[in-house]
Amino acid sequence: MVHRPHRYRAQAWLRRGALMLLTLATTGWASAQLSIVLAGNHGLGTLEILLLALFVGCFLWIAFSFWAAIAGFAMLVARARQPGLRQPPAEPGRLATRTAVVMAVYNEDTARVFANMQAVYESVAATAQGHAFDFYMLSDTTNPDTWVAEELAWHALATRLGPGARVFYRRRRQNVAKKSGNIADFLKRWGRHYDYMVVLDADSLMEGKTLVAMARLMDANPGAGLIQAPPVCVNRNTLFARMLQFAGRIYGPVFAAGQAFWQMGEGNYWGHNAIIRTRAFIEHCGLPELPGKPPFGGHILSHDFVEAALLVRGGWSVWLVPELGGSYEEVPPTLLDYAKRDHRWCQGNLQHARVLTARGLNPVSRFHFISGIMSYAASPLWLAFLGLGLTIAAVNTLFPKAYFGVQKQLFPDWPIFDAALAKSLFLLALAFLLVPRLLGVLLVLADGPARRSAGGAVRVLVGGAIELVYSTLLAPGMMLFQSKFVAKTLLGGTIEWTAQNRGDAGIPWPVAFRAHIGHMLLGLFVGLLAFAIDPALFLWLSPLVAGLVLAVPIAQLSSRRDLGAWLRQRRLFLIPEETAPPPVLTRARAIFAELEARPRGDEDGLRRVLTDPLANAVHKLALATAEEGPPAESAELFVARRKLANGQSLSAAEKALLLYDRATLDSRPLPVAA
Amino acid sequence: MDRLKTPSRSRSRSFSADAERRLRSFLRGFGVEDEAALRELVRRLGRMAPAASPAQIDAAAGLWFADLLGRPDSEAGLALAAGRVAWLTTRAGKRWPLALFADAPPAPLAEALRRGVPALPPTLLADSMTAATLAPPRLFRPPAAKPLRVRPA
Repeated sequence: MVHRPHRYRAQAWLRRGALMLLTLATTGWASAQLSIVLAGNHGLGTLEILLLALFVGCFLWIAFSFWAAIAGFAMLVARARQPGLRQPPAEPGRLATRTAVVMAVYNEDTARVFANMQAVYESVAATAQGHAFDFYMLSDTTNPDTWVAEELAWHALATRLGPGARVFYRRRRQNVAKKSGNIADFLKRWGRHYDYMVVLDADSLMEGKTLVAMARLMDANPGAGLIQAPPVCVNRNTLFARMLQFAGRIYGPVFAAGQAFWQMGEGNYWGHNAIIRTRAFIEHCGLPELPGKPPFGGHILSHDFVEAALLVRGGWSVWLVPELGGSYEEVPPTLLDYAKRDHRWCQGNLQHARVLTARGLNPVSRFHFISGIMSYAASPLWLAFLGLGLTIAAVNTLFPKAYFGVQKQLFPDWPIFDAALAKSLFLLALAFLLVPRLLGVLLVLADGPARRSAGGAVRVLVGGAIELVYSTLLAPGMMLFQSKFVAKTLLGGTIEWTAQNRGDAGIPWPVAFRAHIGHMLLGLFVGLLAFAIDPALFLWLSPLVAGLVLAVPIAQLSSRRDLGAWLRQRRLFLIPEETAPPPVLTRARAIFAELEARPRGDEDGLRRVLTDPLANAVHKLALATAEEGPPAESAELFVARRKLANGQSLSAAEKALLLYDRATLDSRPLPVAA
Repeated sequence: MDRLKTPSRSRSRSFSADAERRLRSFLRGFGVEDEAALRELVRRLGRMAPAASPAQIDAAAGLWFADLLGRPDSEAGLALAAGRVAWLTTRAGKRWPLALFADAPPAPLAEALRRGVPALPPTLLADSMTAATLAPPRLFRPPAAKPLRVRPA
């Protein structure tokens, strides 16, 4: 069902066509050069052809990314807005539509998520458009202590914000289908009360004015199903996270503008910090369970890509609007946390292979799926490419070509290796990887306020150089991690989707050693092998070898908060959000500090509910508003009640069961478990 | 201030021990611990819910709170839950110890409770979301297994 003709489509296909042409042309040229290098004077053998095929697969992606970044740079220089997206009137009035801001949480740090929600609430209230927004904390928390802590934090928040504050809390009894199921549950309960919903993650923060601007954009574009505000990474202090934040802030805008350039109204959803038309989402984005067992069957894990594809299939447009600003998130604090998140995302993205061929999807949506799959599948391809390259080199060393064949010949067959051509090819690949970064640096250097708030020109350049060296050393380790994740997923392995570590705790040396010992050994082996084949080959591979051999210190040192703080004192890796923090970030931090300083009370949630009348009342109110009835009488419930009565220790599942049990909740005065 | 300053000292004998225990337990949930106040409130709540069954107590108390909070159409269970939170949040038990379930509660209590009650979400809609079809076109689907031919008996 098409709701409104999307007039941008012709322009969008023109843009995509141009990018594809450039990508294919450069990949074709580079592949031709490589075939010349590989062929020498003996032609291409099976191994060489395989190597060439791997190169084509890998190079296509870096070429496309490069050309998209060039386009993004041009858009940023021209200060071009997204064509096809109608801008709201210059002096808009009071918002007449209603928006629900929903934050999905799962066993998170309670103080942090409620501090974030309060900061966003206050930021919206400051725009004088607070009447148009309701806030929901949608909990999928399974830990009963955290569950009760969340309820009390919600009540405390509502009390702090004063009478009539429209902040609600709902916990699902069973977290079916994880986050997508959580959001779907909200939509089924309350979705049609609202025109739009804004989805936030536990670490998301958005400025009130951004939320209002997004609602106005939706009002002005009745065909828009979703508008994504790309988030800037903030708030972390470890060296790893600060470099990631710096890279995201300096290079991110070029890549985001590039994506917006070719995606236009067939964009993607990043899972949070986006506004969604609830009616469109309810009608088109019910996610089915895929047939078969996980990791490829079952609930769809990386639901966001699929939901965007379904919206587009339903005739709605999906936009990435980088110029919105005021959208923030946090990055994992350490390399191992980053890798853990990558493992989850890898499994989710590879599962998209199952929906890639779904009937009626827009080709651009299919491309998003392929792109997501390739963001992980590229690693084993590169690994295979390197492995095959080494094999060919080893074979050529061990079995040198004969200078004179069987037949008599006057001149020998000198092995031909076009070193100059190989070097130019290497430089081209390097340029494709580095130029977008350079363009990001250029943009910051050319923008006075941005340059100053990032520590000045010299520090931006020094920071960029250090980050480049670091990410070069990091890349081989990540390639191995991702290759392992891909292999594990393909072999049917799954990973638990646990809460993300959002603190700044570092990695102890033994943990780093255990995680990277394999990388170190492989690095040593590759280094020795390359040196034995040819010292020149060793030099070519030295960044890779160094990254692997130094994997343990890289992971441990970069996880340190003190190093991050030390560099911050020296104004390195600064981002504008650190030198001039946006009000919502400052406020969230202040509220969090205040909440952390307060006495926590009894941390045993069940005991608290059974002994503290206010906690009991708040808990019952939370159950009543969600219309969560008591559990059915069962053997488990009977056992849990008996254990409670006898003062025996209870499991988390038993505590959760009792927290729904009316008879237990009403039993005053209460038997308290030891 | 609460106009019921002198609670009755006579203990109601119209309830069974079990019913009295239920009423007392319910009232303790409002933070009422003083014995004299408890006796008076048991008598008062007992008038509102003569059978003193849990359902009757909840319904009667819910109606009282719904009326006091200015939400006469609220479902009794929800009104009771919200009213109890407001009662405890505003420490009404300390400020108006004997106003709970009074026939004519003081206006400042009503005002304090209305300000103390958290906003409640809109009514539940029990909507449904139809699962989208993600099946590939016939071309990509594996061929369906042929049904076994039934052997004639």
